[in-house]
Amino acid sequence: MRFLAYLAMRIGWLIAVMLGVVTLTFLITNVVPADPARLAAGLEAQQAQVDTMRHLMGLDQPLPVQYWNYLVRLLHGDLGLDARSQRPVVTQLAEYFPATFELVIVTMTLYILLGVIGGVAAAVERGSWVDKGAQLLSLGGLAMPPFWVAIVFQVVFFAQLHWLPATGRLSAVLAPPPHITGLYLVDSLVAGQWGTWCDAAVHIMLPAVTLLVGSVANVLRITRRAMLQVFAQPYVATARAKGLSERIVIWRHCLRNSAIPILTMIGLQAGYLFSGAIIIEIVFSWPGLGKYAVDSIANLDFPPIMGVTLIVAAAFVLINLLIDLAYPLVDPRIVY
Amino acid sequence: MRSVCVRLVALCVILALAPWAGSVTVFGAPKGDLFTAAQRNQPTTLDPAIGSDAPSTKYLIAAYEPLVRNRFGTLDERHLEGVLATSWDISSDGLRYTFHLRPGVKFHDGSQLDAESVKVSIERMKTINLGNAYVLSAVQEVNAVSPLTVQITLSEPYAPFIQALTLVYIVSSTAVKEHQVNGDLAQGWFRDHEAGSGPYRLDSWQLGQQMQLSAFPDYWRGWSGNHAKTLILRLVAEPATQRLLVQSGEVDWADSITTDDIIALRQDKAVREQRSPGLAVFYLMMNTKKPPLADVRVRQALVAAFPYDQMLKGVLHGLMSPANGYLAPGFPEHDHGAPAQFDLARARQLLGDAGYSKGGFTLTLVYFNPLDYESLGSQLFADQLQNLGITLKLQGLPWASLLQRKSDPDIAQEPDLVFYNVTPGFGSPDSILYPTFYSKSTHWGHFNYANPKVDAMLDQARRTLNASQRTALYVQIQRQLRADTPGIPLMLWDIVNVYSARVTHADVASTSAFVIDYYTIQLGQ
Amino acid sequence: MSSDTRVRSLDVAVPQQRRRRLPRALRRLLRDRIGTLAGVTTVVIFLIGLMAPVLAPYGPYTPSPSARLQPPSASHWFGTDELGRDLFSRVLYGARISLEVAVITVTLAVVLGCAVGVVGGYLGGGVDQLLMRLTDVFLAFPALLLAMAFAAALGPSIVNAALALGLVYWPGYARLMRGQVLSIREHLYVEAAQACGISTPRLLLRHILPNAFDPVGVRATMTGGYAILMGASLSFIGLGAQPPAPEWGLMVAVARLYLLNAWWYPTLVGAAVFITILAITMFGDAVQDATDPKLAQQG
Repeated sequence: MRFLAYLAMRIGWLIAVMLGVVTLTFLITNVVPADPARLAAGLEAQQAQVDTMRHLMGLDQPLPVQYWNYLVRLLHGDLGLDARSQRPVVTQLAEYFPATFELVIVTMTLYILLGVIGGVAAAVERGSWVDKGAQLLSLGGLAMPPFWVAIVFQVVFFAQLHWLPATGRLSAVLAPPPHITGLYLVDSLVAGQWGTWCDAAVHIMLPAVTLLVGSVANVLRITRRAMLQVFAQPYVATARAKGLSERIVIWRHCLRNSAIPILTMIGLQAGYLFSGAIIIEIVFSWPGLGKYAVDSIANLDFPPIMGVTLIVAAAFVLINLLIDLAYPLVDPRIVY
Repeated sequence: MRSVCVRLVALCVILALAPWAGSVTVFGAPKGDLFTAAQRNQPTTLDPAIGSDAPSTKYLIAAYEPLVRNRFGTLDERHLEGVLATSWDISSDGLRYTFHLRPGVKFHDGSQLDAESVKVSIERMKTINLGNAYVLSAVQEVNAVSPLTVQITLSEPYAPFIQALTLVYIVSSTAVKEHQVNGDLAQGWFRDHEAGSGPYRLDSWQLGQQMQLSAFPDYWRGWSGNHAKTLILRLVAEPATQRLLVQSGEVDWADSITTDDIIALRQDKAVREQRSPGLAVFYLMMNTKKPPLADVRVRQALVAAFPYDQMLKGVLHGLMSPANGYLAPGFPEHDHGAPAQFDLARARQLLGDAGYSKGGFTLTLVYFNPLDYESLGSQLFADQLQNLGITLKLQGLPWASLLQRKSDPDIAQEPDLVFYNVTPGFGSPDSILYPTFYSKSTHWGHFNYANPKVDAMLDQARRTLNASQRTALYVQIQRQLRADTPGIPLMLWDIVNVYSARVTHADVASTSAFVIDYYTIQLGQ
Repeated sequence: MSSDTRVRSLDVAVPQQRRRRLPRALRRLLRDRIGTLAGVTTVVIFLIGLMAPVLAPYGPYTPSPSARLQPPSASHWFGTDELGRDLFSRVLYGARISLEVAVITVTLAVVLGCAVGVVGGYLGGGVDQLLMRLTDVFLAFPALLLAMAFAAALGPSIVNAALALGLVYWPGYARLMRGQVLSIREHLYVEAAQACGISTPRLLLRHILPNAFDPVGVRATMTGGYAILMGASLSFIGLGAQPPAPEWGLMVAVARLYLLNAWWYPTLVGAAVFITILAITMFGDAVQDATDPKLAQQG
């Protein structure tokens, strides 16, 4: 019962935060001193056409009215129209979201795997070359500008070695798998299209690894630090004294006990992943939300900016909520 | 611990190699009659009545056709070709245009081209009133006189009208009626679908990725000879990536390769270069209403202070041509005046005449961010102005912000210089001069310039039906602009198209060389 | 391997013990050779930034279009850029700009974040909840997206980008300070000070803040590193430094156009960014390792 009460409270918090996000985005996008109506009406437009557009976009209303209208429409699931294409923002987001989601999920899986195991290894072999090497490599990845890494990978793996493709989610001549989730790796498996699956996997490799390079460091370092702190605890000595194998000590006891900061970091990193994804999507022409967001900001196209921000913020908040809810599973002392 | 690490590394290697081995290594040079293009931007809408920017044009030319268009390589209106019209007559008062339509032309949805489709297309574009609809502002009514004859009546004479019709695409009236929803003239449908008569049909559009088109079997010109049968227009935003793709042959045409890459690619046999003289002029437009640039002597000093050779020969390796006046020399109506020269001494003298012999003021220059030419040119200019004691502050802005800064109601907030290029929409000088220099123009290219004499001449030119009289007027306008110096014409945007070696021939559109007429593509092996 | 399980008691943030802790941490830091190296590098880069006008062989702004994109040579150690300017000098000046960005961002983030965190943590109750929700709202934004939105709104310039980044990073400090304050305010010396009748602002400024500040210092170095990286990303998108500024991120963004013709250009500038951020983060890490009381130590 207490858990349900906690859950209800957290969901209330989620709604409050999302409302704050909406308000903040609305304020920022309206502080911008530019006229999106002019842009939406087209480069050749005359004043009358621009005014038509302004009215269509509802920009001739006072600010609080615009805000209220936006909230009301939001509750109906209407995120407005993309000013340049006049397509509903919801449709655009649905088109672009799967690509980013797929990239983020693949990268997350990889950095959890590599980061946690690498961090454990570094902690266990503290001071050795494994430790120093793992730290150096992961920090090195963190320090490299992501767009530079992306271009270098393209030049090395595409231009020089011809091993991997330079852009896109799929080869130009292949048709995408039948749409179920929008994630090509999932959809092609479900449809039994092995060739397409391989092609999609090959295309996601460079973008995912580029994104991974910058994000594995934090998970690795947190894991290492948490494990080291746990190693110092008396119960570890007790466990060893009891005769438990080192493997059980490390994985069953220490990792479990350091899980909380690790999980927290994994949740936080998910947010940083989106920042990285923006740059990677531009360089690899990956058709996701990141590129859409940059184009919209460049054109000061308000509805898509708000839509992207909402989705990403919602995803981030949800992930962290799930992680918070998972804490009791890991640490039985935590009770909601 | 070691065993775990080893297993992890093994897992990663398998994860990497397996799909690679299993994938149909399709990336690599395409074969056959497939033509792939790499483009920096995608169209935002597929509607031919609305799409007016470069990405839209590159697609529309494949799927739709206008009544007339410029013959390849010339802007002379005496050489206009009929596309969907076989012939036309213009009444002596310039108010009635009668077009005889080509029989037997089919739209992609199966319906036939007739006068009704032309009427519906024109009225639709005028009613929606976005994009290029301004060229139809003088249209009073459109009549389907007979199934293959259409008459357009103007409310006042507009001499460039016949050239402007190259921008008006004809859509299937059946499609408009069928997909009309709540009086929206089928805008909702046309945003994502097409119903044109052009050589290629849209098969699929993966948003943010690529568009795929295939040859329309019933196209009225027929498909005998060597043509591309499938088109894939891929979105590749990075110029460096575009270069890699065209070098490897994975793409046949890349539209945004930098000048340095073009020079580097000259060594590469796998790549062909095609240069077309430009019609777009890059200007540094000056704020004629804001001191100190309000003084024409200061403006003329700036014209003499720009390092043209440094820019064109040094930075651009001669890949662009110097501008000569406000209109590109490719126009038959060009005034053939003297191009500007870099002369710091003269600049200093002019500044002295205006009372600024030591300079001592700061100017802000705003340009559209991603284009490297504008950034480089501005930096070179800033360096030269230092010699005159003038500080030039640069700011690259996203497009929307640039437009806003330019037309700020508070003149103190406006920039002093704006760097952009104006591409003619159609083959008449009116398409550049009117939007840019008419005092009441709301076009984005206009920047505070107002001269009633020029206004009067522009209006008169529009009404003058006699071609040689019109040319004389445009020459006078250009001379007046040279005297008024509203901007610094810098260079012509010579379009250099880079193709893979497979492409043995491709015609570019006459007004916008970054648009290829895909039907004319010939592919070797 | 044997783990030394000498248990260390949790360091309590009581004023006297702080003074003793510092030299011990410093000794631990110096024993970490890589961390020390990183620290020295950071200081060197800092000094380079300060003394760039003295150290650079050429000015950073003079173009020379006939000598574009030259490879490294005796007269131009890093070669020249797309307008013929000496790249080495521009990289040195770039350190200066990166320094500016780091300082502005960190200052704004720390001041704003600590203010919010201290106020919320000390006052508690409704104020605390409100401030924490505000923090959550900012944290829910992906960093780059928020920075982009602010930079677009304020207008692209390096200072605006740095300010925008300050607005991105302050929530971390707010949370940190709040946590610190929550644990500190229960201490005896605080109660004693309150009994003396000290005013709240004075209490916050003179007693609580200095004791809570330690982790902020470490985090500030990391934030500085991230700010430089994010500033480069903003310039990549076009919302940060403007030409002809020799900002590293802008230079890499422009250099990527020339990657295939002049590979040394983006590589060398990228290396400068890389080394700087690596040094800063490794130093920050080492300091954190050295001052973290919960880590076991080896002998």
